[in-house]
Amino acid sequence: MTTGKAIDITDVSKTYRTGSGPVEALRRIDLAVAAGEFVSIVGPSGCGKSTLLNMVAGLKSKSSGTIRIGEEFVNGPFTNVGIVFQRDLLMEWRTVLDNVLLQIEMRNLRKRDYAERAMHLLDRVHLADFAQRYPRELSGGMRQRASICRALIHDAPVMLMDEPFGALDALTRDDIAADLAEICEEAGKTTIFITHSISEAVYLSDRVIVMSGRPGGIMADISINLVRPRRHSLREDPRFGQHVTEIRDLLEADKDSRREVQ
Amino acid sequence: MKPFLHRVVNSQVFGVVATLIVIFIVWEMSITFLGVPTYVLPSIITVAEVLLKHPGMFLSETLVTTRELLLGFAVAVGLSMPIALAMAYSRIFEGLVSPLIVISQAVPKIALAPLLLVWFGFGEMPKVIMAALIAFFPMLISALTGFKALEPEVMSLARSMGASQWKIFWKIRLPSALPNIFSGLKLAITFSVIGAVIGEFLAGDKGLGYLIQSASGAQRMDMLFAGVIIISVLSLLLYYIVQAIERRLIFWHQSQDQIAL
Repeated sequence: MTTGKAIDITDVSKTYRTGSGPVEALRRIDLAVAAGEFVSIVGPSGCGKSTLLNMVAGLKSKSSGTIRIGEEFVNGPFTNVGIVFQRDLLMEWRTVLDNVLLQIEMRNLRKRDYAERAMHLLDRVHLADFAQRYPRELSGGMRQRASICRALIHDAPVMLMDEPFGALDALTRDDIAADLAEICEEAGKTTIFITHSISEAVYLSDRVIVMSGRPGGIMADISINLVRPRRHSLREDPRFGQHVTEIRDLLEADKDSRREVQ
Repeated sequence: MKPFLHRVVNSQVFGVVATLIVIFIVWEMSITFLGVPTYVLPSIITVAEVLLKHPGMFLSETLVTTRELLLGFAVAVGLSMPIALAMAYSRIFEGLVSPLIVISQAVPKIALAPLLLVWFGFGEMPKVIMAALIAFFPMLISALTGFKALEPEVMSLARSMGASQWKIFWKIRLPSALPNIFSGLKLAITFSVIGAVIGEFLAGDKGLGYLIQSASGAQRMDMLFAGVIIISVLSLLLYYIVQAIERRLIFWHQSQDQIAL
């Protein structure tokens, strides 16, 4: 490693061509994430945060700039990552365990070598008893837990999460967030996490990136120096509330300035 | 006793039998009380008598028709699946082929029957082709819908796993297409029965369609109805066989939650 940067986004822009002319979605993004760091990105709808994550994964093309993960430049689907989408995307015809192991089969690795690890991960997210069940027998929260296991099973150094809890109810969200915080602390993954929830971002992250509305740009980069391991009680900590307020004010100010322009 | 009774009443077989009994009662009543003449509607009892008197004859005609329709079904499935796959994978191929298929669907297949006789004679071939022609379109459309059903996010997930196209097909695309493929198979098998019987109406001297046709000519209403009943039972039986396979293969799909038709 020549640098401590696990993910390095340099001067990345994205412009869509549409029938009514080009639309600038992202403008000159610079972002570096250190190895083992958990970084959340919050911002208004349509600010391009999902687009940015997809570009880091190599699933969407960028208009300009470079993205590097470790020592490799991303120019096409990047496979040394684990991705969690907003929808769990479980295969209904596979058991929970086989859904986790899909990752292994697709990579031509030997399932036998990973079965034990898969069971361990399922146990970590309280799904061990459901390993042989089918996805339709599970609740939304349990399904998303299984999809997180699928993203962790091959032990990639980088985790990319695109609003993974967006479709869940508030209580389920908090529970999964607590589990995720524990797992990430243990495993030391480098993580980029997209969310709409400011408190979730503060709860999970070492840093929160605040993005402005279209064209999306980075408005603030806030370090969250709260104790780890993070627990539910953290939400009562006054500094937790201060961070949440600070970020909310930034987003509100951005919204207001946009209104004035219009 | 009660749970057993409950299970019987809820079972699929019970529904079919109950419906049949009601139909037979209305049938008999309309002869007895409304005075419907037997040359219009024969008594269910005479139909049963005919069936029991010539079991060998009915069986051999049934086998002829079954063979034709199964061959037609196999041709329809065998052709439509690869075409649906090619259409799902290639925009260009889809653009070339889909107008042809829509136009071919607009031509009434039955109007083509005399042409099939000219081209393929009076043997088994035109019946098989008629069955295949009628079954082809619903099978193709269902399979195509199935193969195209993958959401872009699932493709993203698969690509981030570094999966080959081959793996994506076998492990994701094919299984997720199965519910649609089975809807197609259920349509295709019943349509094949129709195709084979229409083929037999037009020419030849074998099969249940021929039997109905000649019974009609000879004013043998009991024989005609016996033929119709056998065709219905055959069609139903084939449908249930496909459905039984479906239940085994796609037990995981929501369509299997309730008792389907």
